[in-house]
Amino acid sequence: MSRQMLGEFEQMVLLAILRLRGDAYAVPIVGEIEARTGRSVAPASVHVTLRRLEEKGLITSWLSEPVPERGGRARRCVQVEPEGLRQLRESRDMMNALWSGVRMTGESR
Amino acid sequence: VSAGSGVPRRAAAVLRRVLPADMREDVLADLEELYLLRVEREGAAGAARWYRGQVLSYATRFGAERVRGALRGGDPSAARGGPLSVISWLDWKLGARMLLKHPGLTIIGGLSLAAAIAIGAVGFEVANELLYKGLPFDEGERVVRLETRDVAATSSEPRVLHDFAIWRGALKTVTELGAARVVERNVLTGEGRLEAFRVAEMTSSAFPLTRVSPLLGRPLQPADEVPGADAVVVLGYDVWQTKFLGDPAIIGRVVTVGRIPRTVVGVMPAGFGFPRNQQLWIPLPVQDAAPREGPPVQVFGRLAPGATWQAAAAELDVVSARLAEDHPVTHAQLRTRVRAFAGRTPGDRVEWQELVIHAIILLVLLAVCANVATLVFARTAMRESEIVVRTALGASRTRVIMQIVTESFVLALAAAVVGLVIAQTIVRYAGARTTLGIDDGLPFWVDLTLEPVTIAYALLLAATAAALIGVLPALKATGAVIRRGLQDMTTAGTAMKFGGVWSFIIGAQVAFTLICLPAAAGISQEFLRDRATHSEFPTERYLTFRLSMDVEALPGDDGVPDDAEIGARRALAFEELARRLREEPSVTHVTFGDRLPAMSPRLMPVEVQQGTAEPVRLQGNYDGHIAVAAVGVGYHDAFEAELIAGRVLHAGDAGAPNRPVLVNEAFMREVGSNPVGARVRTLPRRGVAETGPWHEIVGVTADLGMDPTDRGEAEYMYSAVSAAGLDPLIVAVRVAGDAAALAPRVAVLARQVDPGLQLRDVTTLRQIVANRQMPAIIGTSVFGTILLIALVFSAAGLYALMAVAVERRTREIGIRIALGANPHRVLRTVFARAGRQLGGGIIAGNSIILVLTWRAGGGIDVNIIIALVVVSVIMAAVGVLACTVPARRALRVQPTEALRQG
Repeated sequence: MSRQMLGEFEQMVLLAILRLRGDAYAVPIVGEIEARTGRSVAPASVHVTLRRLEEKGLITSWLSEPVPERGGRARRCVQVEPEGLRQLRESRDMMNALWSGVRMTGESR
Repeated sequence: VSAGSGVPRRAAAVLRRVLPADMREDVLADLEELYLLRVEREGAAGAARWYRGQVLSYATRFGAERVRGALRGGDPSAARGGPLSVISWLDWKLGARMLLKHPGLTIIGGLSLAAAIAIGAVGFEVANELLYKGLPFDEGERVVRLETRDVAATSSEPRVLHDFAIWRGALKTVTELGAARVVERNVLTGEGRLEAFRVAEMTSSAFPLTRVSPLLGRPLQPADEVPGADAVVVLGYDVWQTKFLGDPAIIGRVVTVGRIPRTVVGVMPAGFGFPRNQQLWIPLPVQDAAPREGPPVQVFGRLAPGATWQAAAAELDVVSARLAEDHPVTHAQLRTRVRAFAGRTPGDRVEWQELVIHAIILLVLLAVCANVATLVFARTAMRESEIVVRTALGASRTRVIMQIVTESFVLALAAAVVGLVIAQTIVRYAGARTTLGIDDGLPFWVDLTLEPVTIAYALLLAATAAALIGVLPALKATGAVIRRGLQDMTTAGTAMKFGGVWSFIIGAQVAFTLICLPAAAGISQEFLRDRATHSEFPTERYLTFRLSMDVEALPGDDGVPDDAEIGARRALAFEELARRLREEPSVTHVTFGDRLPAMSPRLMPVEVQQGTAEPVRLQGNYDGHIAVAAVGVGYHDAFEAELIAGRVLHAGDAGAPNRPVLVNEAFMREVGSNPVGARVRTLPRRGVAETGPWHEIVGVTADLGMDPTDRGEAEYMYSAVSAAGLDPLIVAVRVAGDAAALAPRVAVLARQVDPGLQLRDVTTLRQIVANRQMPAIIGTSVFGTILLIALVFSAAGLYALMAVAVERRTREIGIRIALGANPHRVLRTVFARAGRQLGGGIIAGNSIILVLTWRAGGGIDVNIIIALVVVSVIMAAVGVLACTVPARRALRVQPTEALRQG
């Protein structure tokens, strides 16, 4: 098991990429996280996180064909690598382990 | 940015500069896309606002990275790693939020840090202004003064006009030599009012020396110094503005300085007050003076281009040696040194006092930081689970440490801002007070606003404080504890231990408070006792002023005023003024002396001879000295001092062959018998080479309490003096009602009696007492405040630490109760530990202070014992309270709840 664990926001970004199924780049990732979590997200955080995830080898990126709506500029698309998937799974399992047996006041069993 | 997208151009340009090259185009395009989506949703203005906010967000994330990269001289994108790289904008935000979330810590910790930083900033600013600051002139650091001392008498010798003429011709390393002296003159100002001013009589060479050009007209010129030249004056900016209402046609106007009408030839710019803080300049008539004769002057010049300080000192030694050869009688003992006019002379040793300032500042900061660190640790301990979870989610240890340190930094920074505001207020206030207190005022180059270097110093103190209060708690909170915490998370509760270090800190804190508080209380008490000393006679009933005669008012035959004539004129004028004052309905007494009660005493060693016995040196209360004063007739009567033995001083006593003096009761006690008829004389001391003549003691009076600090225990000797023999006269007018109301009347009467009379510092004795007590009052308030802050702070720190320590045992207590333990027994274990910590501290603190008091030689004062007991009780009470509240809460926890907490 890797010593390095995923941060909360890293998990969010990876999950957003997976949910977008192949159309993922920074703009829809921001939209996806905002829509799903109801929290506003700074694009800068997403860019920084994408860069870090790529450096860790958890995602890869490539440039799309030029897009007319973007003034003829390409998009930097991303996809999750197997190592990213593995770490995401580990993080989920760990949180599940932490949550198991925990009952918060006011919640039904 | 694509054309026509409408993205704010300037913001986009900033963003382009900030971003690393490899992601610049992607980010710009993405952000533009998001911007266009926003435009549709909320309009162009809102979208533009949002865009600018995003640019700021990118700038904080990538700007710091670029700076770090640039500092390392490498590729910015390679600038990763290292503790600094893990500080993010978020940490600052979190830090600010923590301030609001923990108002107790923010207020108590912040204010204590602010106080420490304010003390530091004030100390640094004052030291910097008074010790190190140079003249604000072009190459002002090369302006020098020539300081002559009589090494035998260990006093300075300012009568150097004779030498000045020789230096001017001989010195090559010091050029543009000038001389000045400050004289008091009545000046007829713009509104036709007569006011006394300190006027600089200065050689014209002083103006080019400063390299400051006049605002209007011209400075003094060599032609103005020639005998018979037109009388001229140069005005300072403030005088021109306030007394002549900034009259643009001031050049050519005639202003009467002393008795001489002088034509205004120039106005100097604002902030110029050379040589000290003068606002009027007239030519110094440089007449030939005999060695060590003539008026006292100040001599200054500028190091010649290329000349070093060593070269100047060496050349002066040569010239001084030649002077000593030529005038062995007067100059054998004289040494002249070249010194920086203002600030530090290169080559001077750093005095230990200068280092002590920084040491004290650092000590205060350390003491405060130790306290704040305790609070920060308590807060961090409460957040242990947060830290464990963050670590679980991938935060590195450095990351967590930097977050805690950043939070401390936010606190310290806020404290620095408050501290600087406090410091500025203190410096301004103290500056204004000092100007009132010092006769010749603060030098013109001293500026009473905090300098940038002081602000930098305060920020450095804040950074040091942040590191001190953040690092230790952060290290402690993220050490092995975290790993244990992670392992234990599903089974046990908290893991952070309040180990030996913190027990020690609790104990040390109690001890430290115990040591500091009685000391502070003792000092405050001294101050308060000083304040109480002077309520014995009604100070508000005395109007006082300094009276002298304008030297120019009575020129002698050769144009040089004759001291005897001026003295006679002064005495006549004073007698007439006193007569007219006594005619005023409210006035009961008019008297004078060289000082009044509540003014600083002049201290001399004396010996007493009774009959034909050997003279005995009197061991006075002022370090073996006794206080001496020269007083006029009726002095003791005016201050209601009863005669104990002998007679009072008469008008004929001044100048009588037996030189009669009065002494006070304390003097009589020291001698041991009635000293009337005995003889007394002053002995040499630093600055006074000769033994004084014998005086006959003719009477003994009650103690007057001349000095606020003497508490009626100081020995006094009053010699008789006439108004002709004293300059200036310090006059006291006793009034039946409020003395302040008489002030305008005195000025009117003085003008009627003789326009040459100079009246200065017209005020009540109460005001003088208040001014003298100002340091004591400030001292008492500062000490009182520190006392209170220290107590509150120590109590809060103690409470927080002990409360947290007990709260963390909630689960243990709950389980014990669940297993059937007796609540009292459980409580006993809680209090036993607290008792050990508190007791250790109390015993240590008390022992240290008792040993110190005992070693200091003084007996152990009842007040100290009381202070120790009170503080010990307060500390113990706080400790008990800190344990009781969480312990009671723990006892009430349901056993099932306690078990589940794990």
